[in-house]
Amino acid sequence: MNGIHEDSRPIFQQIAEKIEDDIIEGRLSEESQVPSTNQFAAFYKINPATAAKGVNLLVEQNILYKKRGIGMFVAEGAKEMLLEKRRHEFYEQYVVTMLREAARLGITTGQIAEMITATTKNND
Amino acid sequence: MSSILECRQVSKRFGKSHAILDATVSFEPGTVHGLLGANGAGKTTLLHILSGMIYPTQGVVTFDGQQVHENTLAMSSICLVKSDERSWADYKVKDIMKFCSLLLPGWDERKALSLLQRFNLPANKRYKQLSRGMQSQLGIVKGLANQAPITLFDEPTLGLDADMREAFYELLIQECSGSDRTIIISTHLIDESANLFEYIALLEEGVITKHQDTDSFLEHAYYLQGNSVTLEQFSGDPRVLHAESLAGTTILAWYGDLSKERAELEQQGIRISPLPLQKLFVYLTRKGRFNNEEVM
Repeated sequence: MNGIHEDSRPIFQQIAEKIEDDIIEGRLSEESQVPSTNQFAAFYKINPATAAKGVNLLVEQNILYKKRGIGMFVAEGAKEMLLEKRRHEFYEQYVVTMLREAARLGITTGQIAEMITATTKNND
Repeated sequence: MSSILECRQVSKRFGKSHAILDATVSFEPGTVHGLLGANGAGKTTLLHILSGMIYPTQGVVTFDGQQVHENTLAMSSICLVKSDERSWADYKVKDIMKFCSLLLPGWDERKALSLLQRFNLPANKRYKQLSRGMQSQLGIVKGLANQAPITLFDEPTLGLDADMREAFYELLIQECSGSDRTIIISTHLIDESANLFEYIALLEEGVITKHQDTDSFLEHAYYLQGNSVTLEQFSGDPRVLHAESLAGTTILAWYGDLSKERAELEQQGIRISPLPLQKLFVYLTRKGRFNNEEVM
């Protein structure tokens, strides 16, 4: 279903996250209009109320704002706000999870550091 | 128009057995509800009562505050799409569409025609000559083209192939986008329609055991997978719906608060993943039956 729902979190959160990704990666620029909840519902094949819940999540965080009678728009400074939020989540989501799995496999912190250095070198 | 469909303490008895027992539930305008229940749980009976087609033995159904039964105005606001429309059997598709246009106050002729075309339904065939899937499609035409404030679909996808079921889901999303229509659907194809439902109503042996929004219904449903020794502590825990073990690994289906245990379990290498709606339904209803057997 268009990449939605094979996931652990409620669908409205996934919708919010997809919009966040679009803003972070520049597909939705600041002050541009966001698709309507009905468009999201049709695209992701989900209930329109669920789509609206996802969009409203971002309105509450001042990432999106409503222009009466026109639709939803990306707020100024939204990208920076999201980057800040994602950096906070990065630790929980990636570092903690990685260390837990590493401990299970008997990989030491030193070895992880080596892997990171090697990968960054290869990518340079 | 925005009006609530409500039933209060509704029971229906057939002879000595209860088909519906003390059902109290309300359906807000502009929402889509999934009515889930095992075979014989009473889904069809409940839908017939809600639409005013059969009388409850006890209790009352109201729409917009008005009693539904023997109330032409209320009944015309509620459209029931049966899985088998027996009264249509000997009539041709085009005649059935004519009846609908005359009898259903919310009939949208243009929508009906475009749906007939979409489903490629033969105008001159009789209902009883149609395949099971085509009969379902004709029911869908009735339910969607009739712009009733309340539409009840009883197993609308019976006999439909995967492509046509997708088509139905898409049409349904379109239909309820930005509208106040309330739609209640009974189905056995739970996982593929789960995302359509804003609310889930669970019917177990005639009793509505749950009616809540889908997100919170699923919020506390998990699979816990990992070392049997670690998970053994939960044997007998009422939150465990189902347990299976193989070669030192145990999988638990969990329904309930996990916030206290979660961090520690993850620390111990237990994998926690969401339980899909269909599995939750199966384990909940199975557990219900098991408990009832114990009582007897």
